[in-house]
Amino acid sequence: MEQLFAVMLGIAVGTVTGVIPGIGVVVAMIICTPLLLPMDVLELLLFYMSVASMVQFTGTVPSVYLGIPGETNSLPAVIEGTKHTKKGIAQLGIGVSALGSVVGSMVAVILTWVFLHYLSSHLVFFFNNTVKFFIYCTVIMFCLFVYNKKNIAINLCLCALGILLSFPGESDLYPGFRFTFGIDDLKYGIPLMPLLIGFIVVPNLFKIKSIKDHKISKQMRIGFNVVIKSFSTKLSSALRGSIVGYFCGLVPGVTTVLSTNASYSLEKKINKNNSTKQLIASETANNSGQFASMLPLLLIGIPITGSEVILYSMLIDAGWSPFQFSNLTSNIDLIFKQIVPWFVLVNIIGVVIAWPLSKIILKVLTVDKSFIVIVIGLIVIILNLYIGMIDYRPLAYTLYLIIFSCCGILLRQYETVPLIFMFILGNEIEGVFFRQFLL
Amino acid sequence: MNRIILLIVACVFTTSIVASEITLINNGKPGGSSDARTKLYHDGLTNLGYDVTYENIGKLTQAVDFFSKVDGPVMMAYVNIFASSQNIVHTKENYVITEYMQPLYLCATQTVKSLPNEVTVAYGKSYNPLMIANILQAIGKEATLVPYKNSSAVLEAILGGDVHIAFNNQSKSLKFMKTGKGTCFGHTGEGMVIGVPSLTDQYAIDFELPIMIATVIAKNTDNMQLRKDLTKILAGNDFVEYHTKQQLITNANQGWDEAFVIVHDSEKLWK
Repeated sequence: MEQLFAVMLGIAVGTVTGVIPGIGVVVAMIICTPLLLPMDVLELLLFYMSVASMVQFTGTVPSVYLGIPGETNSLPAVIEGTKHTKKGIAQLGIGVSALGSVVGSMVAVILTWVFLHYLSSHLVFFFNNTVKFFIYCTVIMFCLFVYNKKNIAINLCLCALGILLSFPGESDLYPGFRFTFGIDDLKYGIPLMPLLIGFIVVPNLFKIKSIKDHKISKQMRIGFNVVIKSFSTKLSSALRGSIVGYFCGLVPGVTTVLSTNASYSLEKKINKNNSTKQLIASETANNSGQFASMLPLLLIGIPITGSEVILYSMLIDAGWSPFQFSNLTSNIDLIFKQIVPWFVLVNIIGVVIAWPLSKIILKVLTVDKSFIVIVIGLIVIILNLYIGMIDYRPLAYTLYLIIFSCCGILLRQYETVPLIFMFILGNEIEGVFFRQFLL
Repeated sequence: MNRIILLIVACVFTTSIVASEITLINNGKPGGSSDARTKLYHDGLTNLGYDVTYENIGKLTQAVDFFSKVDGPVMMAYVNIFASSQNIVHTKENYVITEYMQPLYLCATQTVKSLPNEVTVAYGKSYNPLMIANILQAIGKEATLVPYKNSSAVLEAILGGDVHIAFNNQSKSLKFMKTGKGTCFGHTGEGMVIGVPSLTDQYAIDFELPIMIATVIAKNTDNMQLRKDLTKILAGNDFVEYHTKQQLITNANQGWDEAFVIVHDSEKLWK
């Protein structure tokens, strides 16, 4: 029952998150924190999987109908989707995208099953410090070279700031406290919630405000049979997109963005003038990549996306470790016996919501942007206070929120994901690097 | 009428005696032993009629600070190894009961003889590195000590091939042996535990070895009454099942004085 609640909540949150531009999975996770606090490890994983999958489905709807990217990985859908809308066949675009998303998800499950059963006895290799060292080096490289239009200087500053903020409190290497400057509260470290609100939510509120209103042009009614028939003739594009998307989804930092764009570029070369095939390829890659991107976290405990890094911190608070389920075989069992069945259900619901009900969910976009901004703003202030009270330091949380919100406003034109990555993983990375030089 | 009033007064009086108020602090994260123990204490105390306020802090440092600041009756599951890094040591005023003891284990993927003379040893950051180095020296090895965050990370380290030896607690050492990737060749306690011989039986060790002792500490309470109640709770099915499953050493007949001296002395070894 609890698992069903986690999945249904994830579906609801993911549906809204995908439709409203500016609210990504990261912001959704932050806003839902009070509901996630009582959840155990499995429920948290199911919630995250549901949100992340639904966003891939519903993010396509505003992209195709209105040319607004719901998520950063929706850009190919914007380009090719609007071509469909201009021709009055947006429903075809939405339909084939939804079906492609399901194919992408299922191909990802099959690929995972094949690889994991082959690799299961060797996965312990990833527990090695040297392997972790190189994985974290890759994560840092991507933090430096992917975000903020590859502006390394900016990304370096953000990474350094994240690391510095992670230092106060307890170290992972020795008992005792550091960098507390005589302030008792710093013994517990800088809290995550005000930092996330300040550096992620506040800048996003500005983005939501700046989005212009759009109107949907008149569209033809296209039946299910037509969509299914059209999709079946383009199955090869879906399969190609799924495979490309799956492997690109494993690349830290860029995951689904790379999945979508790599698959889109490949399909463009193969089928130059077929926008439906290009749309299908990018959308299948999206879902396939989404599933693949969760694997490093599930199997070896290393998050590779911004939203996963927040999930990671929640999982740790819920008592999770990669060895939680006795051994790696149990982790694989967890994926296939407890996550995949729900994943299939989420995909079925995703198709229904993103295809036949697409026009209904677009109504979310008609809500006044200022209203959305005010509501989210109030929610996060109350949320910060609530989490502060649970953590027995509401005043400190309020103070941190004011400071980080000011910083967030100043940095609003930059992507602050590298800062968040380094803040959450800072101590872990420090430990891995220290041991690497010791061993 | 007078009888009714008398009855009401008696009821109120009885309730106030039975329903002793106590704040129970959880200092562990879900899935950990502190969390599991605190939940069992919570159920046990509630069944005995205590009015329990459960403070689920989940972080040791914050929990210890909270314990220090609470004015009313308060108790917390504790372990002797915490004393080295936290501000609270076991005293005659706060010590209530010893729940269980467990030795610490040296585990490796190879036999001791096949290990090189210079070995790398993974240990949890709460353990005293000097003490571990002494133990390794006593068994004829020169150790490079590699710190890890906690016992799970130490287990990963030995499985991942980072180090030659892991110095770890009983539950993670059991898990390690169950993987079939190696074995534990000695522990810091006495006799055979979980099929592993003690280090003192195998090597000439002339200094005291540390063991982990799980206790309960409290303040502003009648500690002797609380000790009696906790003894009842520890004898209940839930705790017996928990201790048996983890193969923990319990000694229900140990007197307060004797138990306190053992805990108090053991703490010095962790500093």
